[in-house]
Amino acid sequence: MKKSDSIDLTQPTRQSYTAILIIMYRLYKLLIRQLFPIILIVLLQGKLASSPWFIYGIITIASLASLYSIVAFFKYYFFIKNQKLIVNKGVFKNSVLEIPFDRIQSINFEQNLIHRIFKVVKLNIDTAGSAGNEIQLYALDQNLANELSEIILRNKKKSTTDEGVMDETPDERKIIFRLSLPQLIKVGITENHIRSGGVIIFFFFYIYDSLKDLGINVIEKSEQYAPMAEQLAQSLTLMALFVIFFAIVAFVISLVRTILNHYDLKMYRKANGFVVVSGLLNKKERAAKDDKVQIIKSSQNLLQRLSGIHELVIKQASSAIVSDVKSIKVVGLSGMDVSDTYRYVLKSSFKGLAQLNMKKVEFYYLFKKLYYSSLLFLPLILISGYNHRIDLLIYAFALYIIALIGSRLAYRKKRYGIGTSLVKIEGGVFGFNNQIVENYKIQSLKIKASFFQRRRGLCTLIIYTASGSMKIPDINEASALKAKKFLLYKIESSRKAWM
Amino acid sequence: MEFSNDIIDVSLLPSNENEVFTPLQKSYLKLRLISTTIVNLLIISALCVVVSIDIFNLPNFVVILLSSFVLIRLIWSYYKTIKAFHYKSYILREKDISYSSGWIWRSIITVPFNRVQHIQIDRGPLERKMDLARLKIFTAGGQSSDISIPGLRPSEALRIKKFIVSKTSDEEE
Repeated sequence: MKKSDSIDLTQPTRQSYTAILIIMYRLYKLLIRQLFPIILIVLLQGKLASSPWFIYGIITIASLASLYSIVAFFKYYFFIKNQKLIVNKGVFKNSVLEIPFDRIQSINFEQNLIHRIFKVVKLNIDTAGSAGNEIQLYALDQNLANELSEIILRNKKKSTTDEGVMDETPDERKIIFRLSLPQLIKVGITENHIRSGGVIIFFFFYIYDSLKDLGINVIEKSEQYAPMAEQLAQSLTLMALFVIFFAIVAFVISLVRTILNHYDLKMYRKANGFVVVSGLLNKKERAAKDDKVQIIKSSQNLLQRLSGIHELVIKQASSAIVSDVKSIKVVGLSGMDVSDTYRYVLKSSFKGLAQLNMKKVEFYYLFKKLYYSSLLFLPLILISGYNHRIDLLIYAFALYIIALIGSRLAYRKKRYGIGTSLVKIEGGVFGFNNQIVENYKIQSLKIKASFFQRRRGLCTLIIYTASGSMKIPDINEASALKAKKFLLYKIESSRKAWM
Repeated sequence: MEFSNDIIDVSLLPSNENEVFTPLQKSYLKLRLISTTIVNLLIISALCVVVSIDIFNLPNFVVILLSSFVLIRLIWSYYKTIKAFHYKSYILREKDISYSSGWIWRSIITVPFNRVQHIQIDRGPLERKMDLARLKIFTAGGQSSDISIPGLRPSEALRIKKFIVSKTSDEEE
């Protein structure tokens, strides 16, 4: 392959000088996060902030951090030798990392604002192995990064001479899906705003806690304003206004977050995989090989259902299953886009998707949910009724009704289908979601039954894959055994590599 | 890659529902009882210390309550250990291995050999004393999808391990 010959990666190479800036930025960020409570107290207690010692302290810490970054930069270099990527690093203690190309799972590019200004990229190199075993090159010139990733991928291919379908040129990029600006805004509007609300609440609690740790009790301080606050609380209109304000803030936060994360989202085919690029300030590129994809999950919340857009999560096999790092999220897809993606990932199994015979789970699934929500809410309702707390009674009752309706909906939507080539499980309460896994990608199967399930001849089938598990709850034992038998046969007779 | 999508008669597939599972070694029950006893002794001695030193100034009824709770727990732990032991069993087939366990929450997990990542044999101090071993079979599906079969004879564990390894290397050829 022809490439500019000026790059010789067999020689120890340093990152681009921009890396100093980025290492420094990361270090400062870390310091600020760690020292946040102290900074807060200093700023709140005006006197300390103006004392010269404070400024000296800051200058010392800052210059030490800068020095550290510079040393870290010059001590960090990498090169290629014998099909291995070798990285030397460490400020106080030298460490050498050797990563054989075969072990490299994926190479992801990332660009935040600094990267974009200096036209460099960050490279995340993931290896198969325990978490924390990955390499980050904070800033590389674009050419160098491309060259490096190409060398690694090219040599990797040579060592794993399996399928012959790899002949496509790596540069052939076929756009599958592109998120337009109006669509993006639609995604932002239909986000789960309750989650953003949670973020706000969490943020307030965090500040409150940090202040309390430092001996500043917000409640005590605010007691001076208590009479006023009482008046405020009593006025219902103000309360309503507060709720509306809170809702607006939550809405704006999720909208902004969506735009930051998913701006100009593009999903395209590259060789035998997908690449998803998105982000406004932080541009991220994530890649997934078709073979590595284990579970594909598509979902819609209530708002998304109304506006007909889907969210897709492509889960890849990884060592750290619990972390979400290895899953790729794509938002704002239409039903067509989802089915297009399915077609690419599932390939020959795709036909099986339409032939699936979706079955319901047993009534016990609903019974269990109704039983537990009654167990939770009925005592609450009784107690508040007994104590003549009408307001609490109304809340408890309303929540109880919602829980009952939710249980009913969850039962109606829970369906599963086991086909010759794949398994699909549908679910959702107010929204809708489904998960698909190809049969030969299943790792192991478990049948589990509680005492209560056994009394009714029911059990739960759990399907384990290399990127998490899927559950089919409360089906009768005979059909679970049949399904297990069938899936085991499918796994054991398959010779396809599951990853 | 050839594509096939034949219809399969499920009733003809091999199954493990009627097959006989192999129980664990009897001495494993002994081991479980010993470790249960150790835990119980710890709890009882802690209780004795609390009551005799009387640092908390506990009223009598609390002492009685606590003691009866510990007593119930003691009986329960032995009962549970014995009960649960009888549900622990495994079955080795041509292409997979299953482990069944649980008395109240019963579960059977099956791992096909062509999904096994690695196998490990563990022997703790007590297990060494009683000539037992624990066979651990790891898959890529995470902790809860792995099989861990206790109460095997070391030679047995080694044989199973070798068998599975030979099967997995067959697959790769």
